[in-house]
Amino acid sequence: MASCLILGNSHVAALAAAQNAGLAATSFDRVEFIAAPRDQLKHLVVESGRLVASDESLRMSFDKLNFSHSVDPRDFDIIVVCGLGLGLRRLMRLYVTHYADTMRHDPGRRPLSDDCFQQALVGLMGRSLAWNLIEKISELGSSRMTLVPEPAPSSEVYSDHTNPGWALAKRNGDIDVLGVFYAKALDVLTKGRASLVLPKQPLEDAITSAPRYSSGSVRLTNDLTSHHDKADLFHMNAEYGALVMATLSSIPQHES
Amino acid sequence: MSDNSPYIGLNKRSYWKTAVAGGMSDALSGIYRPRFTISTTDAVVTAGSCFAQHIGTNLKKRGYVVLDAEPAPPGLSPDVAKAYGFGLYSARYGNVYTARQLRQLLVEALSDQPTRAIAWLKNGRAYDALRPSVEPNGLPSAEDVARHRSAHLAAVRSLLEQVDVFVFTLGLTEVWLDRATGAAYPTAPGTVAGSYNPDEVRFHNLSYNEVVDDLNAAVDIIRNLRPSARFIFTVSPVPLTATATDDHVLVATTRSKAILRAAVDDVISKRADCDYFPSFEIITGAMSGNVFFEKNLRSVTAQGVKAVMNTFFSSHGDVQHADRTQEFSNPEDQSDIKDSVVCEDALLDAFAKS
Repeated sequence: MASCLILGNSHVAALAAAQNAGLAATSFDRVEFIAAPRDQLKHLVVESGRLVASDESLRMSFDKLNFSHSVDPRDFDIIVVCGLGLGLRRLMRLYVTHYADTMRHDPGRRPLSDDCFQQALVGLMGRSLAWNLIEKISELGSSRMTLVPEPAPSSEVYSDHTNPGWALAKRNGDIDVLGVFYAKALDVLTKGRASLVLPKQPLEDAITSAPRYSSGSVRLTNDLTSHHDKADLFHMNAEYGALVMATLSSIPQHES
Repeated sequence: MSDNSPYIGLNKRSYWKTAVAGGMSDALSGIYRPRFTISTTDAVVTAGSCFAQHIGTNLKKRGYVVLDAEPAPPGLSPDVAKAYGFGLYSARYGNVYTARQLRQLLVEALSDQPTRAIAWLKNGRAYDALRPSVEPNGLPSAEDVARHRSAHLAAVRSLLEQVDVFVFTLGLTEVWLDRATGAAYPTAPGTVAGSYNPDEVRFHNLSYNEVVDDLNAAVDIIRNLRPSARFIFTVSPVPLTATATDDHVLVATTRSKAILRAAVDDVISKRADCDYFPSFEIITGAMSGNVFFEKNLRSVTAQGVKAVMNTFFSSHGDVQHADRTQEFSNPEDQSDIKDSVVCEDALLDAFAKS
């Protein structure tokens, strides 16, 4: 039996929906969620060993969701940081302008060595608020840190012109190699510092999920879990959340 | 003493006693009178030996438009970006120590021929012999080197189409040439990558005439493409780390710098669009008493870089540094300029027996 604090932005909603609907088969005796938009969570600061909402807009968001304005991470056995800008979109931001040696060589993009591409990706992901929070909380105590990156978007993203990176990756045949770069970046970032929970079951390929996991996706509202816009390919539903929660639950039994 | 000597009544800056012996502030006053000004809207391109990195960095800090045709990808920290050759100059050409390298780069960038890169090998990885330091771990193959080089040359070409002011710092006359192609390398094979084979490369010490020819050719190439381009040449004050001649390294350094300095003088004396900025004199002049060199008597101190750059900016009418007296009062002040340039030449230190 263990306690778990799940902290993040809109991607927390899928986990909360699973928990609230009783879909998540976990061994936790206590799970608390703290969620707010990324721009507001920038104002979650460390004060006297606690995480404190230092900004009025963040406090108002917390009030709406009945969160306390501060929390002591050491009260929990596991701290989970979810979403908060750490995900495949950062990889695509790099990919649409640059390619690595092991990728298709486009004249319209700039070449980078694999080493350089990988370092840039680690840097981009390391600058996410998710990673910033993990570093802040790690300094506070011994709570086990776990990272749940943003989910891989629905494979429908390949035909979404507003996110051209995925379509480019498919056209170029770079899906698998991008998956390798992404996995390595996550490994570099988390090694020795945080556990990584990224369920493989929903994946349709290395960088997308099966559409059923984003169908009926949920977002942050007063009950944390109201349905999202159908066209949102980047947020997942309670079924996905249940898979994440089950994986989270298994961590204490595997690690001491 | 005659009262009608041509030396009577000259400007204070013309006499050693009043211009140099009086100390740093006197020496720097009027040491540089630009032939043309650089505005903050001029597109500046920088290239040259390691010391030139300071020029680009400081121009950017002061709000000048320093072109960067190959910016670092998002995510790279400044230190890592620098290790991959990003942000050091206006493109990732690495250090261009010689006028021969500059000429060669321009010719190659504007050539219609397919890129024929020369790859040096190290631990199974391939390095661009003409800029071996821009990929610290090399690339998988010679084909990759050629592909990267081709993209790089396209970036250089785009620079040349936009440049208003080209700032080039000459560093060396000593150069290693590929016997088969005549290509001038920035460093000897075996220093960063590759291995030295006297059947493939030969040492050459550029003569005065060769440097003049190379500089004039470089200016002509750029002006053909960009007729309004202007040029500022400087000579790096940084001595040779090692010489491949049989001379003492100090003698070799003096020869090299003297040739570069004289060659620049020849070029600017015949071209109104070219100017010389005396960074060499500011750092090595007797008035500095070597305070502008680190303990190794080679690397330029942050204070030295500051003196050079403040002279440059104040001479170009940048009033923020019109009063320089404070800047030389505290030799411990290394402030914001750290000597963190990327320099293949410095690697030669490792070959010296202690």
